[in-house]
Amino acid sequence: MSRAAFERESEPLRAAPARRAGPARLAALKAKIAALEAEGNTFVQPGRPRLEAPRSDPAAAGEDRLAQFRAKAGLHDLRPETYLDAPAAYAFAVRWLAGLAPDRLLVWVRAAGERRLDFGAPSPDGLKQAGVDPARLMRIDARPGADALWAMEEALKAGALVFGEAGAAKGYDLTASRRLHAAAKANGGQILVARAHDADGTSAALTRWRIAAAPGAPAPWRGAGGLSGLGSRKLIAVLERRRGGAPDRFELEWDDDALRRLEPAALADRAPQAATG
Amino acid sequence: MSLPRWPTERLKPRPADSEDAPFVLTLAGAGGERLHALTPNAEAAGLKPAMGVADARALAPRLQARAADSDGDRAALVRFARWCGRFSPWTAPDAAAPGLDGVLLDITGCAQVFGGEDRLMDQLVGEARALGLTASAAAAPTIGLAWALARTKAPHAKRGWVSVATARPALDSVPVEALRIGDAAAKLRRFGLATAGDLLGLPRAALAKRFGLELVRRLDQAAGSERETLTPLKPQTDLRARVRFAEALQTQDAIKAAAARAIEKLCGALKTEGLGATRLRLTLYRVDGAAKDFLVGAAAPSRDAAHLSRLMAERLERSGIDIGFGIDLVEAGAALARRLDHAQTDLTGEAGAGSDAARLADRINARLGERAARRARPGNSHIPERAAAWTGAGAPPAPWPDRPERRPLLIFDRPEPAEAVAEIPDGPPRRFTWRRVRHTVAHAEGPERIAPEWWRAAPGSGAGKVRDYFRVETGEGRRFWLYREGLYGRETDHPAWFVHGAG
Repeated sequence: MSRAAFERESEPLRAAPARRAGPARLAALKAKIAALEAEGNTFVQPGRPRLEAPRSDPAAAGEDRLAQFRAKAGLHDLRPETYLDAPAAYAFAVRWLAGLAPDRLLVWVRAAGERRLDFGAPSPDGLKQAGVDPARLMRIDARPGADALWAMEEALKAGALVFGEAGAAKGYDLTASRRLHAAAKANGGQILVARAHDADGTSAALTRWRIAAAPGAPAPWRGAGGLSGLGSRKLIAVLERRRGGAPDRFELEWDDDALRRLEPAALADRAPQAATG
Repeated sequence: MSLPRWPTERLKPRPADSEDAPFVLTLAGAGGERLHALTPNAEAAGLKPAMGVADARALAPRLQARAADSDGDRAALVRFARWCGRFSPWTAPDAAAPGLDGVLLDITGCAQVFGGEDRLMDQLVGEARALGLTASAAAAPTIGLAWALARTKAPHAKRGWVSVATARPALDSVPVEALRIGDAAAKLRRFGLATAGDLLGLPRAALAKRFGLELVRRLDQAAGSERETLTPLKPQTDLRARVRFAEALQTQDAIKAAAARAIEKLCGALKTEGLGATRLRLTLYRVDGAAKDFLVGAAAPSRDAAHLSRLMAERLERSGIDIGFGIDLVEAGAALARRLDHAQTDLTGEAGAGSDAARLADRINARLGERAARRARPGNSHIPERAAAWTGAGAPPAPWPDRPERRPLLIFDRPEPAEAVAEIPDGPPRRFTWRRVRHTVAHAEGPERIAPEWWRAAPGSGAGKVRDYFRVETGEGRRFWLYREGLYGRETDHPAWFVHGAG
């Protein structure tokens, strides 16, 4: 092959990268890197989330207004509004984790002997109906405090999604929550920590939620004893704090009971409410 | 030691055997079942080995026959040989045809422990007879001679055993049948050669030519001119590895490093054996004469030194080490080991995803105690609290079945009593008080009737009561799962209510 012929044939190969690597492209890439580097300090919408929701999940289609919070690897805090709202907080947490990375291990760290969060053990049948495959579940019973926090961190390092009950443990403070957040980020995992309704103190969580049950609409069919059946489940999630963003309030409702669907139902937002303080 | 009645005497419980109903073991042979092993009563009745069962029944009409288990006999003889380890560390089972079974013991140097060879032999024969065995023994310089004497002279000896110091004069009177040559003995008899002494006088070349090399070899072995060794039962491999230090270790970090070294050595041994440890024991020996054990368990058998060392480090950290004046010997042992074959890794070089979970569970359990980490397996029960079995995190869990009944997210291990008011006796509650809080029911569904498992109930306590479950939502939107225990009017007049789940 002559030199001229070679150059003629290889022309398109050389031209293609030259066209794409323009200064504008470079600037865009630089901006992207800057955004990634700044991620640790301020809240920045990530270009591509590490945890991609499954395609069938409506969350991926943008119907789920919590998707922007769920997409980010890291620590999220939640606590029930009152003592009796703890089951609602659990339901919220399970829905949160249900659509995320369905191939990962899900570790539920129970705080043994924490009276404020004692509403029973996770029921595999209930979890399955809420969209979490019980085969993914590992349950760890630990004393609240250092042991439970250590177990959560180990689980995150093993690449699991974690739901941890911290309760009112003194050990869960800014330092401990930073450790958990760092472990979650490093492994691309997520951790939801449930705290007691009366727990206070700061934390390094990306978002902090306060969950309360709300009366759901009655089902159109008759239930038992002249009462109506159980309709869609409703709860109110108040986004109390959030890194680099304003607080918000969401009214969440889902009706996985109606048609007994077994696929995960999204945390669907019914009518967007005006943000309250 | 000779155990001529081993196949029949080893059986437990001892089969019924009497003079008019003798007991025999049979084996399928040419032309049907043939007698294999006999009791003395059977022999007294005129029965002989290899006799057909039908012929035997003609002689002894009330014959008790059972199929022989040759493999079982051999395995039992191995166990008995191990038991003989109390007399000598070198023992071997010597399984042959019925009547010729025995155990070989090398008692060289063992006699002093028992206070002389006489005492040793007394004890050996005495204890074997105390176990109900017909036993006789002989001590001789060669295996062949001892074998022969134990089967010929010893049964007639006063104390059941004979002992000879040198091979030669004793060998002369040994009958040819006791030379371990099988059928060749009958041939020798036909030539009028009755004892080993007769044979030793003949030219060896002619003997070998006529009766085979085997005869000459056995003869030489009995006489001691050819070597014969005893292949002892191997003691089971002890999976232990030790690291010894001239200077006692004084710091925790040094001990952890030493433990890691011992575990690494142990993992090498495990690899050769094709085993993986499921329970690892670390023993720290202190210079002042104390030793402490630390145990960790692994959900799946493992011989990964890094993983096991890490588990052990967690364990040591959790319980703390009392170093005392220092630790000069660190020993790692596999307290429980299971077969572990090489696992195929996938193309990226990573083992299966399940192993991550098992490792996590191991670490959690090492620090927080056994059974801290558990996984759910479908329970074989329709009672809600037993529908899930929480077990250790070893094997990857089975897929969860689809159950159509709706269940709450959280279920109490123990249902909690509630005070409830229902409009009609078998309807859902309208109000209930649980944990001192009053709830008003807004929506309810049910009942789902779950019958008790009568097969679990203690005898005499009745079958238990039927539960009617209701899913309710309170006026505040909180969901509970309640049940009423007992059918109104049929099982009870005052049904009790329980809260069994929430969420």
